[in-house]
Amino acid sequence: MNNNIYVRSSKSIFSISLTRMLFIVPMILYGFYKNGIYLYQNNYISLFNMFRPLIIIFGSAVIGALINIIYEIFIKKNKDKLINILFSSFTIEYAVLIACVMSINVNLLIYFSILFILLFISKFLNNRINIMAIIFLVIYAISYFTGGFSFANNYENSKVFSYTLMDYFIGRDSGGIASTHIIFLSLAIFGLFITNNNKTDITLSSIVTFVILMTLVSVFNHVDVIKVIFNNNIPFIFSLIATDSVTSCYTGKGMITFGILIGVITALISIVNPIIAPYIAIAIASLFNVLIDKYVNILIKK
Amino acid sequence: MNNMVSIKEKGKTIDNNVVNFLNPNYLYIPIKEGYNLSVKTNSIINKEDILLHNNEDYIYSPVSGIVLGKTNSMKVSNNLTNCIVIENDFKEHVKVRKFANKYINEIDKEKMIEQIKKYNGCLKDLNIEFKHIVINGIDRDPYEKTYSFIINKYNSKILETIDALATIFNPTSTVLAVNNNDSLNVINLSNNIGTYPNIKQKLVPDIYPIGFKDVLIKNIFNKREINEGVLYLNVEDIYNIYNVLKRNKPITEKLITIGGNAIEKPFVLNVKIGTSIADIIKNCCKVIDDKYFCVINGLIAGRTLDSLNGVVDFDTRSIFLNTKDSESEKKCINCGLCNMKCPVGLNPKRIREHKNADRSKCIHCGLCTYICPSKINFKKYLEKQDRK
Repeated sequence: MNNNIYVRSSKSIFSISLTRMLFIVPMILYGFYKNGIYLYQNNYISLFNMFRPLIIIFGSAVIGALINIIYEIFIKKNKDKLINILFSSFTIEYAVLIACVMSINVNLLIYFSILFILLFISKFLNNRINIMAIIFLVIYAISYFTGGFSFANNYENSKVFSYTLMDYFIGRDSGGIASTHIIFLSLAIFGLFITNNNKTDITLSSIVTFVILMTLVSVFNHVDVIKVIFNNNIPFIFSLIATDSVTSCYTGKGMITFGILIGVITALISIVNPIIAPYIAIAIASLFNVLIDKYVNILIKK
Repeated sequence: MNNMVSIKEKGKTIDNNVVNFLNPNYLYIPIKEGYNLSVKTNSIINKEDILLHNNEDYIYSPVSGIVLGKTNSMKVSNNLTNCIVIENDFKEHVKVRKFANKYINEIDKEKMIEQIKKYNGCLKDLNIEFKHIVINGIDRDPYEKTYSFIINKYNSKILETIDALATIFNPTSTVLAVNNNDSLNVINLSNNIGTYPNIKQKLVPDIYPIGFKDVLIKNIFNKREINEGVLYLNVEDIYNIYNVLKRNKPITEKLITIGGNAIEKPFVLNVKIGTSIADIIKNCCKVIDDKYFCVINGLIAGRTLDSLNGVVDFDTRSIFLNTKDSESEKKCINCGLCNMKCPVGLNPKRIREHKNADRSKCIHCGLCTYICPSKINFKKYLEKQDRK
């Protein structure tokens, strides 16, 4: 009674989620051009398949919204406004981000079914693990055993490319549907940093750790560092998936440690399988986010 | 400054005219712990007669009238408190004519401190060791306008008094902190401050909670200066000191902000200490929404009154009649904003989860609750331990 609230900031799950999704719109549009319009113009795909990137992204968003509606209205019996129910959690954002890093070749039925089932299950997991990483790993595993997993679209499959640094920056390399354009990604991260909607400490510490470790590896192994860093959606994953608010650390020191841990595990697993390495790293790190926050701060205080 | 927030929506603007409510039928003067009554029941008293005393500390009557006796039905900060009830005769009789000091900066230091203490001019201890003086001209809550109003209305008196303090105490620096968005006051002070070379005007950004003592001092002085000693006063103290030094006038009236979305227009009210809040609402506020809660001392950091039988005391700065935020509390999303924005470096999320976590540094600014996207009421958890 004594501490009722009268004024609030405009920041809410809705505003955070919406801002994060708005900042990736340029990447989605570029993904539509790269994996849809360009391929259709060059007769690599049919008119229907031109819309495949948008179908995957918007279909995912619809699934995210459906899950929130089913869970909030039918299970939690929430009688709030529809907009509050739709953005009662980050499920829509999760679905859109998974779609952005997904391969254009993914089987739509398998993808949407796995997305729906796992996002729904995640509602009961009390946010203990980064569900985006788990969904990608499951879809990767299924795709791997049912005919292989490849990020390359029809055009990329038909030719052999040697990408320059500029190609990576403007997103010409193969990767997820809407996750390759580094310039748009950097702008999005900068925008999210300015608007305080992203845990930029995690992004920076994970990328720096990963780059340092891969540079060291390249000394002994003659790996193309640029390719390792920019391929397989790593900047996008470290920027937007690893920074999932709910399953990452929240204290300053905790976030940096969390990012370093992700960078180290990713570098280690990259030697075996660079595609799934960041997802495994994020899934493992997210399991320990509470402990990292707690013990890193205790250790530093001591 | 990273861990502070700019609050954009500040409600309706307050105009420059003060509303007076100086004639309540009854006044309820809280009897502070350790104070003894200086008057008898049914006795007639004059305005500014001593009502209560504790060694050399006195509390004066704000009106002339009849002392009806004690009551314990009134509340201060939601706690039932013994109060002396005075029936106002509306005559404002004053027993002793007060002299006026023409030049307040010529008073002797010891005499000045004694005079301020005697007439209750400032509730802070001026006998401490300090090398710097800071005067807070920034309202603690973004919805309050009391300090801003005092500067606007009495800026020459404020500057004269600060200059007197600077002359008498001779500190290394004397700083008057003003909000840089308070353009009218900034212009007025800038025009007048040139004649007072002892005073430095410091413009601070319009961010919350810069009006809080510790936060303001940290933002104005460096560690060495803080260690040398800082005397913190606000413009209300300065205005009261002016009245004491100039006219030996004790604090019997107060300017407070009346606001909130349940009244038609916010305003600054001049009111007698001891006036009941119910009387103020009944006589001064045009209520437009009956489902209001009464909040004292700020919409962000303030306290909701259990009932309207509270009284205006020396610490009351504002009264808000506001409807409650109806958004329900959601699960924590681990965003870390509460931790990042806490001006004293606490971790409200951890305090919420761990009953034994240390929260002694909390200044109760309410910023964590204000900023939380999940609408979690951290104030509830931060206050729990204080009560224990």
